Amino acid sequence: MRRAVFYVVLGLAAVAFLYPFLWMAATTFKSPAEVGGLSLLADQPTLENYRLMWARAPFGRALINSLFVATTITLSVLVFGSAAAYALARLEFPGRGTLNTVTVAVLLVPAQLTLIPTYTLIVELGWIDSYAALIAPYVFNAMAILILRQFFLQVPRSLMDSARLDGMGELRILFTVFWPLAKAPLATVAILTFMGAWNEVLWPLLVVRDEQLMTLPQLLTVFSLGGGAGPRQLAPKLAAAMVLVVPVVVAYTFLQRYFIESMASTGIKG
Amino acid sequence: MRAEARSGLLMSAPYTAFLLLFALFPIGFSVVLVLLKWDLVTAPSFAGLDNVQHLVADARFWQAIVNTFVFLAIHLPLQVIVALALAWSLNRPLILRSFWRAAFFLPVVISGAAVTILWSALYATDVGLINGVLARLDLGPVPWLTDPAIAMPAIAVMATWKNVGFYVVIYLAGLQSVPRSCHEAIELEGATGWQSFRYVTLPLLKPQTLLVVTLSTINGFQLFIEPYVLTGGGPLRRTLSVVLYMYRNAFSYQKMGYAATLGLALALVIAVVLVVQRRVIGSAEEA
Amino acid sequence: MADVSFERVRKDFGTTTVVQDFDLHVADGELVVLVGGSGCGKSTILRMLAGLESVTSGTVRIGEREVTHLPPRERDVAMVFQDYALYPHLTARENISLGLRLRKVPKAEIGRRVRWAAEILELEPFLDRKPKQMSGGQRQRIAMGRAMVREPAVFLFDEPLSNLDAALRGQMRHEIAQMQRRVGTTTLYVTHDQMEAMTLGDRLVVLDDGRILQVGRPIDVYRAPVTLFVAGFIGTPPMNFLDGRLERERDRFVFVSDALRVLVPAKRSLDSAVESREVVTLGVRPEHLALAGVPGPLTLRGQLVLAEVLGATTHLHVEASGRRVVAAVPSGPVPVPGAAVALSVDPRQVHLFAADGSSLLLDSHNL
Repeated sequence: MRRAVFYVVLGLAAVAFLYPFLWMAATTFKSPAEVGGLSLLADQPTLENYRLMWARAPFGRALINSLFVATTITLSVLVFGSAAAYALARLEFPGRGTLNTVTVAVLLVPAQLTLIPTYTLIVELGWIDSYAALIAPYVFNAMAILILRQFFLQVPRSLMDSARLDGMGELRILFTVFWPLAKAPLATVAILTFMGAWNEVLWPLLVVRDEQLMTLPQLLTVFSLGGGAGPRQLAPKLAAAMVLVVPVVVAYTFLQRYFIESMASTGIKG
Repeated sequence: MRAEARSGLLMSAPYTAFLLLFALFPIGFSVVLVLLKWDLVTAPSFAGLDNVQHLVADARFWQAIVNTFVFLAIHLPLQVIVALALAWSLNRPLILRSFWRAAFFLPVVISGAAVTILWSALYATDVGLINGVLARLDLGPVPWLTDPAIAMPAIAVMATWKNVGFYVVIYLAGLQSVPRSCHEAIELEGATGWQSFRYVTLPLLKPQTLLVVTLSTINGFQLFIEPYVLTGGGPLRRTLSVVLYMYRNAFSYQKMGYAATLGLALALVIAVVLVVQRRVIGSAEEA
Repeated sequence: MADVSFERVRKDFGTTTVVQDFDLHVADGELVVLVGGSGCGKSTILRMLAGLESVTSGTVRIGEREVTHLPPRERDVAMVFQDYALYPHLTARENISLGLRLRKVPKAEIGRRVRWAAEILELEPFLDRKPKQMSGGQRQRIAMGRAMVREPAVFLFDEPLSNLDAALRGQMRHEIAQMQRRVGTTTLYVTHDQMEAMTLGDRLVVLDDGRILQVGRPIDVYRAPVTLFVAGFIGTPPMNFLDGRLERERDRFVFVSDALRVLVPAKRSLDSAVESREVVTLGVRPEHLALAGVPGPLTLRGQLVLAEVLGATTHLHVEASGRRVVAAVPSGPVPVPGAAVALSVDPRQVHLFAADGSSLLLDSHNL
């Protein structure tokens, strides 16, 4: 009996979290007259909202931009970040301690402090409206380096020593010995970095004005600020949001364990 | 070791360069910017402490701070209570356990922009879902985003919906680390379910609670996309956030010096609030 | 203070029956030890008494009350867990008194009881420390103190010493025994360690696979085990077993194996074993084997593998017709490993078990 109460509570909560997405999806197929209704099925389903949305702003282009930017950032963080993490964990060199301390300190600084100065830097470099502006400040990620460094510290030194005796250089050791062992933290870093880059919106709003270069969340934001909140405008805006939401939901449905474990592990250990 | 030192320096050099350019320089330069007046087009001019004086007297800045505290006053308790309640419900043998957990966590992975637009539709006064449901119950439509007193609380509820799943997972991990025998022991000692929760479970969850409160507070001070899309900072500037104001100063008004001052002030406010919170909730090591 | 009784108690987990037909009466003030290998159901029985496991069928009584379906809070039992179950965020003193505070016992009374437990268990030096600042033995004593101050009707101990090292275990065994005698509360104690069982209990209950094999005073169970399992489980070093057959010579019975021939006490029940020519097992404890100067009748012939000198006693490990036999003899001159040895068997001290494990010389209705 008591068990049933839990299921009811959980069921209601799950509805509260999932139903809005279903309603949003349903609304995108409704004509203006039907928008706002509670039913999930439209009497007269239409694709007009999607057509409008697609015609009014370059969402296809924005999707490609987001993919490009997020992928580049993730690859950079994984590859270059590993190299830095490996050096910090396993190699003795002057300044290592300082570099470690600075890495941790940087995480304590709120992003808002560096936002404006970095913006001025980008302006002075002439990088406004360029992919460089979107990618450069995220090429490295202190959190990722910490996670990888933590992991590399636990790899037995003997593995490294025997690889060195075999004549391997440091980079080769990193990518052929350490990387296969680091599947879990690398996956965590990949998911965290990709999701972070994909969802970032404030920075692109500052440094990109050209619609052709905007990322998907950015274009979505700009698109939704135009027009009012009436039914005629609401459905296309939701249609635009669907472009952003659906790929993530699909990925999430199959990979939810990895999403949850990666994102929560940083919190659990922290 | 010289070869090792060389490799070390080489492998970490790109990172060092990055830190210098995108971390250390901006932090240092932000202090410099505070003392400047600059629109990025003409040359910067020295302004001394003008920016700081302006900030202290700026009603909009203080309104934004007050708005953030209004947000936190609703968001923080909601976050802790809902996350704890859901985690506690999940901490037992259940069917479809991973389904429930995935459902609560879904909004966490969705982009803030998409969530904000979704909620602009949910909160819409005439065609929104929430008012639609209320209408079915014969309750009047609520002007969620257009009433100055309701707008920020509405944003606080939305933020809870978006983030609580993350904290459910955190609390769940904490609950599972409490040894079962502790609960059995206190049950034998005569405790009711509530007493067991209050005297054993809750104190042992202090580190998690501190984490929830800290991260949610930082999140609250960083609000941007929500007021930007939903209300533009209104109505009557009651949802204006510091970051939104800072963005406007940089992007629209082109006042780099003042924008940087706002950023610095925000960092200081966050630091103070976090220190106070840590004192109040107690050090995590006590648990 | 109360007696405890289990009547036809049974516990099923799904389709598996973990405890069968368990009947036991524990007298007021008695310390009864439930002993057996892992998985024999002893912890489950304890937890059913505590209310932490449900009872599938049967009745459990504490004193006059039937408690079979009562929640743990209302049963007036206190338990010492294997991992002590101390509350990590509270000091020792707070750990001990939390239960009393929850029940709104007056402060003065709480203070008195805590002092009383602290005195008996010597807890004063670390009453204000937290569990992670204490050693295993100290934590154990705090767990005991917590149980004591409740002044419950029954104490339950669930393998409390398994997490301690050997030396500490010996010391804590004595402390637990002393405490129980002093306080006089009815106690059920679960362990897999037969030494704890032998030294602590007023009575032992030997369990295997959810069933009671034997109940009795330690010395009685030791001297007269009614099944092969009990005989082999109780006693260190364990009883030696040899397989063979029973033959009848006129009105005498003889156990025959290739290493040994020995007369066994005559009993009518042996007739069927002789007739069926089944394999029977002879059991003899190490202390009932002695070095024989000359091999003759009643001696076990074999080869010495190892002699362990333990001090006053030496354990001789002898290989006889493929079996390893251990004899516990007073230390003295011993043969070298590899030499042929003869061990004499005291025929009044042999045990005999049928193919199904039941004793052929004892009625299982004893004890």
